Amino acid sequence: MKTMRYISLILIACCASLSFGQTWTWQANEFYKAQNFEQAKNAIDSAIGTSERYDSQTWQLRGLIYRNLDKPNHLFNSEIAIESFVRAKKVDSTNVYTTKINEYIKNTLIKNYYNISVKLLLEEKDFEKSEEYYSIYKKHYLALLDPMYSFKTSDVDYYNTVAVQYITKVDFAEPSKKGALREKAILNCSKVLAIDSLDYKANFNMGIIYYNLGADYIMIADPEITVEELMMNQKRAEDSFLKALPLLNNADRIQPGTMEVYEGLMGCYYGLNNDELYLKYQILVDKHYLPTYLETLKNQPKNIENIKTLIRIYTYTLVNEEEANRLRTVMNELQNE
Amino acid sequence: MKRVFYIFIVLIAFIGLNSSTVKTTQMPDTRAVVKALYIYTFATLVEWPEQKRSGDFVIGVFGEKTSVYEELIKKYSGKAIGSQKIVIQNYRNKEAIQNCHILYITEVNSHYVPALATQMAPKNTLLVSEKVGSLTKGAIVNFVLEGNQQKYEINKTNAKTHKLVIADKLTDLAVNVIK
Repeated sequence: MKTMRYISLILIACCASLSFGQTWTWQANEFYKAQNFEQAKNAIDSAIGTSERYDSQTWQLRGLIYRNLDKPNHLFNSEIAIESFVRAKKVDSTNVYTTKINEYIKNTLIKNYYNISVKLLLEEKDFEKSEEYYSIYKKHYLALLDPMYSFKTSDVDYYNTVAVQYITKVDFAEPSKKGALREKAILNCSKVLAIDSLDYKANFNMGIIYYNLGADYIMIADPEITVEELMMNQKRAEDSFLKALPLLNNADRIQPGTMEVYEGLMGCYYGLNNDELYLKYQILVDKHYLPTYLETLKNQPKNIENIKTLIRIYTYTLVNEEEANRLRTVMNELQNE
Repeated sequence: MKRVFYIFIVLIAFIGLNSSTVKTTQMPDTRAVVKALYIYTFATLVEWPEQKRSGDFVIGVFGEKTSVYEELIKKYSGKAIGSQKIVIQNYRNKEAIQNCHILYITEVNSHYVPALATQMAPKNTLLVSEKVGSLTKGAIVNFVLEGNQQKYEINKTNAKTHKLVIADKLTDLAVNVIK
């Protein structure tokens, strides 16, 4: 009778345990749902030390918990999350969870690698770390989800953005660091062009990078330059403008009639002292912006810079001598005020 | 029976990259800067007579206030050539020109070169022009294009008339020298 009572008690205890799910995995899941990821981690790590490790769901949960952990190291935890999902697949001998686990992996790759890579790039401006995350994202995607997946579109978008970020950094960098940043920007444009030589943004961006480099050789030259250095700088500027031209011409072929390309070509030909082609593009640009300048003249009649621009336009590109002379008179009066 | 954890798959979206193009800034006037820099190098490589080696070093621009004038003001106003403070002047008519070390004559005013050469010779002014043929009309240095680059040519005879000594380095790098 006593023995029967013990057996009954043990059975009740077991049933209670099962019904309340007081396994390590169950506890981990409770912590996970409460978003207490540190406690969840401790519980799930205990679970894999028991027979619960033969349950795919334990590994799935471990993956979900680890992908939410930041300490000690986000990348390290993400790698454990991915390993856990892989393990969950292995344990799932009947493949009941394959689709679900693949979704977990995909979401983890997006959340913990791709999106982090974009944040590092756009918000924290840590370009090298961003590239590290992006490359791990691709490596895992190919290894775990689809070995035939094409990253062409993603790569084009990513490397174009990296190039723009490097160039944006050039504007605020010390002169001694500008060169290295430009090289990185060019490298990223080249990566895009290797994938798709007809990508408008890469052609345009790389063209503008070379144009800006050429202009900088002149614009930020030491005022106390020697005549030899000046000639050397002109040669370097010429080389850069000549590198920019084919890229900007490509951009013009890919997306004809784009004003930003005309402005780039105009700048290059101006720097190369090629008046015929410079004027061709200056006329196109002036035709486009003339209504804006006239609107400014109407609203800000004393804006001398705007008047100067209009005088230039009416004198050299969209010639209107009468209007040019009238504006000269206006400008002289303003300068004498 | 296996217990099932109710873990929902939350769809996680890609954060957009929004890759844009590099912004084109307003086109810098590279030609004006090159000319301003050349004018400064001329100032360092020409020797003026004794009486012009004291007081301000005046660089004049004859014609409208062009970009070259603005660049000269921006880069050199208040600086010095040796012990002489650089002063940049703009002259709208030739009667206004009193005394300057270098006079840059804009292309649209190049027809004034012969008259200015006569007027400025006694004042030892280095006449710098930018029109083909100006060296034979009295200019001492004339800006010319060689290929895609801005260069210059020199008339040493005109320099002697103005009692100016041009350094060999400046002569050696000129695309054309009239002796």
